[in-house]
This record gives sequence, structure tokens and C-alpha cells, in this order.
Amino acid sequence: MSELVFLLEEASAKAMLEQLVPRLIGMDVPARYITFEGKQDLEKQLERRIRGYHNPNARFIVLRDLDSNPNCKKLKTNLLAKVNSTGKTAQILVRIACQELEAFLSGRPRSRSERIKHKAVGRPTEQEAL
Amino acid sequence: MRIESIRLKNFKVFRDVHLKNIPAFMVVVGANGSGKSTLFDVFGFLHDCLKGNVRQALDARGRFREVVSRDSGKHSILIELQYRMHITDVERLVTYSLEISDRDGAPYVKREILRYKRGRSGKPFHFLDFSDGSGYAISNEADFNKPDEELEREQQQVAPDTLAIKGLGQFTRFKAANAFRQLIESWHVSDFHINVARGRKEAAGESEHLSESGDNLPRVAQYLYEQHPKLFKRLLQTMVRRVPGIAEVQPKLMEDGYLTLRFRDGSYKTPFLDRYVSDGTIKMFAYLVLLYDPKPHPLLCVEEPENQLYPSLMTELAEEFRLYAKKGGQVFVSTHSPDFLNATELEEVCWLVKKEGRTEIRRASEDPQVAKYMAEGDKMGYLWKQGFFEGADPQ
Repeated sequence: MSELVFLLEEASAKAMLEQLVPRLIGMDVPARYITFEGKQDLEKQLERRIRGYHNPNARFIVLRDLDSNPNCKKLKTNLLAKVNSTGKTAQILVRIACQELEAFLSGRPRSRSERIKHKAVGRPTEQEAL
Repeated sequence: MRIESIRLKNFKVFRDVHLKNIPAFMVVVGANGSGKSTLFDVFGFLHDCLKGNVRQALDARGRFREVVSRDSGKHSILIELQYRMHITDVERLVTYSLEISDRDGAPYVKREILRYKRGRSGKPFHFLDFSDGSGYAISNEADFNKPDEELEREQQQVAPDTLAIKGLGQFTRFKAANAFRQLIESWHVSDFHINVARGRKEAAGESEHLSESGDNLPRVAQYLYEQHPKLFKRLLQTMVRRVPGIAEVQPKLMEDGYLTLRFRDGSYKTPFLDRYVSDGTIKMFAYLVLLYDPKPHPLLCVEEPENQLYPSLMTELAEEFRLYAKKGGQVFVSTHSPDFLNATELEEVCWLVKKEGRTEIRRASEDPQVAKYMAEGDKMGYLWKQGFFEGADPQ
């Protein structure tokens, strides 16, 4: 059975994805959200979680905020090197949220700030959010 | 003697559960209200049934209709425990089964059975079988060579709301009933209250075992200090290692005849009274007094031992519970602490899943994913926090 497994650095990412993922891919593919206690914890346990994952048909998505890290490409290369050692490279996506991860939900930061400037603050439209 | 399985039907949130292969040290995880306390209360309930009668045990829990699972449409509660014990030098698996029902607002024992196999093969034999106040017990159960028909059945009458093992269990010739009664009677749930453990205590009273609330802490400390000095010394060494600053704990009989505990900080000469010591210090001392008991309880239940204690002490605390279980007492612990769980092993852990008002029990060892990670050197606390205890987290 196919399954989507997210490896996340904190619980807020899970809260966001639980809202977003069903809207993107529907409810047909079961999703699991593994939340770690921060970036270092994520990086420490990531390989072990993927390597020992029971379901051979699972696909993994590793998400990490860029935050203060100056180089998003280097960061991604490092994470890829880690997950490649699991031997499941083809099943893994690594994504760096270059801005706040939550921006996926609240819309593009620029358009968001435009809206704030024009005092049109409110929930982002669905299109903006996606 | 060790509890091997627990089967419950219509006992509060447990509509139908069967917990098998129970380890000597079992750790239960579950969301608030999922039934951790109810699981431990099975023993409290049986204890109350034995001390008084079934009606009193039910009344203390809101009467029959509050104890029987809601909307189950069922009219009886089943509690079935299996335990291993030696009878005539052979280890046997004994089953105690109790079914309680209610008739016009009056609870009664619908069926009470104690059974085990007489030989290697064959059907389990009913050594005690009562229904609604009347039944029989086998009085020469140790005569295993006799054929079934030569066993002596003692017909007896008891009040319909009274357990037959209450009376018969007093006689040593009813071996299995007697052992079960002792287990339930000396079952101990730790419901430690720091504030009642502190302060001056009467010097006379129960002093060999720590009470449920811990209100006889100074007396038990004094008993260990006087009667088991080596053990007390070991206890102190552990205490000193775990609580920075504490150099000594001494039970002290005051001039007015009261007993109190005095703690000495390594940096000061004069000791201070337990009332000025931190909650965590008192609690750690109480756990050590409980767990270093030279005569362990056959069954000890502790809820959330992590409260007030420093997280890094959890590994050693878990190890002490395990040692206590090895010494002969079985230990059930409930916890919300990832640090405590990190110190547990796969076979020791189970979690409660509550769905639509009913609770099921899952064993970590039966979960392929958790078992796989653990085989690769993972830790239970991490797996729990990362959501691998399927259904345990509040939705």
C-alpha cells in the first residue's frame, strides 16, 4: 500500500501539512507525519527512520526550514547525502522551505505583505495559499 | 507467582480486552481518560471485593451501572486473571474467573471459578465453582494422583454478593485460592502524597511497608535503618548520587516521642527537617524506600512515577522497578514520560487506544514497525513521541 511519510522538524509543520496535504492530493493516499524536536533531532534520526520504515511502498518527504542557514543548496546536498545512505533514494524527496515553512499555507510572503499594506488582511484565498 | 493474562469484559471502558503474556515489569502509556487507572483498578476492585463484598466494591465506584460498560446492553462484568504458581512442585497456570451481574439493583456473583490443569494434558479442572451463592470447592486438590471422581467436593453456601475465595482462601488446603487471595490482599498501588509523607509521625504503627499515600515514610525509614542497616546504607548511597547536596538522611525520634526525618546537606553541619526539603527529594527518597523493600509486594502498581523528578533520573528509576520485579514482585507502571519510556524494552510496553468510548490495549511487541525500529536500536520514548504508538495520541 502506498503511503506518504513526512519527516518534519517540529509539530507546527505537521499542523500545517495536515490541513494542506488532503487538499493537494486528496484523502486516498494515507499520510504519516513524523515530527522531531528541532532541526538537529531531525538530522540525527532521519536516516534511521527511513531505513527502518516497515512499509516498502512508502514515499518520504523530508522538509526543513532554511532559517538562518546561508546556503540552501548546500543544506539540501547535505540532507540528500544522509538519505542516500538508506538505499531508498528513489523514494525520497528533500525539500528546503527557503522562507518559513508556514508560508506554504499563508501565501507567498510578498503578496501577503502587499495585502497587509493595503489593509486587506484576511484569510488567503485558496489560489494564493497553493 | 506472576500474573500472566488479564481478560476484561464490560469493565468500564474495557468492553472486551485480553492482555496476554504480561511481563514482570509492564509499562502502560495512554492519553488522559483512556483507562490507565481503570486497568490498575481491576486489582483495587478485587481487593475491595475481598475486603468487604462485591456490593461495597461496586458502591465505591458509583454502583453497578457505573462500572458496567455504558450502552453495552450487557448485564454482567467479567474479570478473568491467569497466574502461574507452583502446586505440588509443578508450575501451573491457574485461571480465576469472576462474573458479576445485577438483579433488581442488587449485585451478585453470577459465576466464580478457579481452574487449572491437573496433569500435562486434559481439560482444566474446576477446583472452585460457585454460582449465585452456592457451589463447591475441592478440598484435596493436592492429591493429583486420584481420579477426578475421588476428589472431595465440599459443598458450600456463601452470600450471593460475597466471593467464595474470601472464605475458602483463608484455608491453606485450598492452595490456588489461598495464593490468589494473598496476591490480591497484598496488592499495592502507590498513590504517593508528598504532603502527608512529610512531618512528624507517631512512632508506632505499620512500619515494614510504605503505605499507599506514603504517610508512614519516617517509620519505614527507621525500620530499615534499624533492622536492615546494610540495605539502608545502599539506599542512602543511591540517594546521595541522585540528589545533589544531600549527604545524609536520618530517621530521628524526637523528645516528644514523635518520629521525623532529617536531611543533611553536605555543605552544612546541622541537618534540617524534612519539611524544608524539596518535593522531589522527598519523592525520590520515598521511591527508594518503596523499591528497596526487603519483602516486595507481589504486585505493585505505580501511576506516573516521573512527577516531580528530574528527567535524567528516569533511566535508573525504571531499572529499579525492573529489579524489584526480578526480586519477586510484579510491577505495573503508567507513564507520560518519554525519558522513562526510553529506559524500557519492547516487551515491557503497551498502550491504550480509546475509540468511541471503548478502550483497546496494544502491545509494542506486536506492532511490526515499533518492533523493527527497536531491533535496530531505537528507543521507546522517541517512537512514542514521533507518533509510532498507533492510536495512542489524542486525536
